[in-house]
Amino acid sequence: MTNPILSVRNLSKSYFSNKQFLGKKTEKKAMDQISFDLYPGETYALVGESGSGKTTTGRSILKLATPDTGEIFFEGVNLLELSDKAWRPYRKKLQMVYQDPTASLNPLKRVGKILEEPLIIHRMGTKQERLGKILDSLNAVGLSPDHLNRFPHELSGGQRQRLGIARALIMEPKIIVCDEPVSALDVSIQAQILNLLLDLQKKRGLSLFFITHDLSVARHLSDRIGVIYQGTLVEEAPTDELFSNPIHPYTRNLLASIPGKKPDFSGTGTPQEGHFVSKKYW
Amino acid sequence: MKNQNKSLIPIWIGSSILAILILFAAFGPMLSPFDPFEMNMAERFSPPGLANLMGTDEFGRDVFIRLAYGARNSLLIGFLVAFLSSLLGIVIGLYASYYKFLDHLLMRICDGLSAIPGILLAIALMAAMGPSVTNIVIALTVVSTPNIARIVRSGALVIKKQPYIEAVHTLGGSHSRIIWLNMSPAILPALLVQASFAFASAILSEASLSFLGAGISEPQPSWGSILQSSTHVIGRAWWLALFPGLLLVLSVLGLNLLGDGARDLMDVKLPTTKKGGR
Repeated sequence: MTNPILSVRNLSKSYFSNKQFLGKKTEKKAMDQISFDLYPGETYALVGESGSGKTTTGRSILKLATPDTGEIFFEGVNLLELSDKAWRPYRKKLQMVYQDPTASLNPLKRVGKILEEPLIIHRMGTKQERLGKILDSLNAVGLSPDHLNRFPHELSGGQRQRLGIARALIMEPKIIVCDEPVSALDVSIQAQILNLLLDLQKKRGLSLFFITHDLSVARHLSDRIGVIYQGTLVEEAPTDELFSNPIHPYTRNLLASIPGKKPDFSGTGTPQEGHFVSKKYW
Repeated sequence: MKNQNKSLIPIWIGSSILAILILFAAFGPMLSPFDPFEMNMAERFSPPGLANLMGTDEFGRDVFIRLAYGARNSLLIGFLVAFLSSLLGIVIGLYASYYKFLDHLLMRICDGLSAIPGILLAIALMAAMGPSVTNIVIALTVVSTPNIARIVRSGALVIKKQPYIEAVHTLGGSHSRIIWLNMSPAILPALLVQASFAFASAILSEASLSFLGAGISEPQPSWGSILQSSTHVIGRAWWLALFPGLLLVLSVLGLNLLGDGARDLMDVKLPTTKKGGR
């Protein structure tokens, strides 16, 4: 097996509620000793209910949340030890697609400006070269050059998310963290956006770190799935293995809760290679 | 479309009033043959007529031309105060919203300044610095900056939490890029509206200061000091109170209409910032 592009080791973070009168501070573990690897060209889906810590994990990779302890290795460098300034070159390689495309695009900027901003930030190319890149990335996500002078509110929801993906792609990142990128979209648009992501990944050899609560989306998209429950990674396995041979009781519950057909747990009940099961929460 | 036309009416009225005032300040002195400082004791308290459009004061000076020169002072001071306090206010408000340690420092200073009634603070500053137009501008800027800073800060705190600001951070944008290129444009509508109110209140404060004798001092003309001179002769020289009072009411009304209209208009124009958040 090749070396992982991103290795996350023992990530932990706790939030404390405000101290009550005569009471104790209550601790809420958003991440509890989370470890996983992400390989080049792979899609890894992190699945869990709301509040399970999946978003905090994704945000930690991009330094939008600071873990209390743990290490994140990217190309052999521990990202958590870097200062803000030393982190900046890595921002090009680690990008994010947001859940709500409307809120994540500046309403006062036109499409062209939104896409040009990352290129200006990283001082890439002349004005002409930048325009070329912008047109390329618009084309790659299925938008046309006509959209350049539109404002985000003049686009449809699906087009906005395409724009969000184009913005993440324009710096040619190695990893894209997708935080529920389709949950704010109409069901009819969701499949288009998911297929676009898969397509781009194949063409460019990207690694996708996909955060979702929707198991059918994870199954459609990912090579491996991690299940997170109350800040703990309870089970991790290749997609087919997880769906046929879930071992942790929480995973079994989660799979059984998919509406429609009855789950078919035909597996052996013992973990295969690459299948990790936590001993917590049995 | 009809709705939009409706909300333009206050802007039209407000800007017409303001335009008339500016024309009055710019060309009024040229229309009158009188000198604002020339006394003519034979013509004291002559009522408005063909010779003196708005009558004369206790020294026989023409009120029309003194009001026109006073308008220059009022508009100049009002504009400078609005401009300077917007400039200071946006810097203080944006940085306070962005950096937590600056927030405590800057906002406590603003709290302290706004704990003192504005006009009292202005009088104290004028007493300390001495009367001059520059000092009036400084004193009134000190008075109105905390308000603007607070409004900028509260707006910026909302914008700062928007995912599109975080997105710029993820793209590697520097703090100053986020503050000046991404947050400040979203604040601008609110700032412009607040600046027009600051303009109006600066005109009013200048008149109050001059009325109280702490602002522009005689023989320099000011709406406030002309009003002041009318107080003991109001029974026989009503024009000394009516015309400067009318000008004050009109200018404040015009600016407030402009500000209100702009606020309504720009709220309509920015639907995505309101709907976008969660």
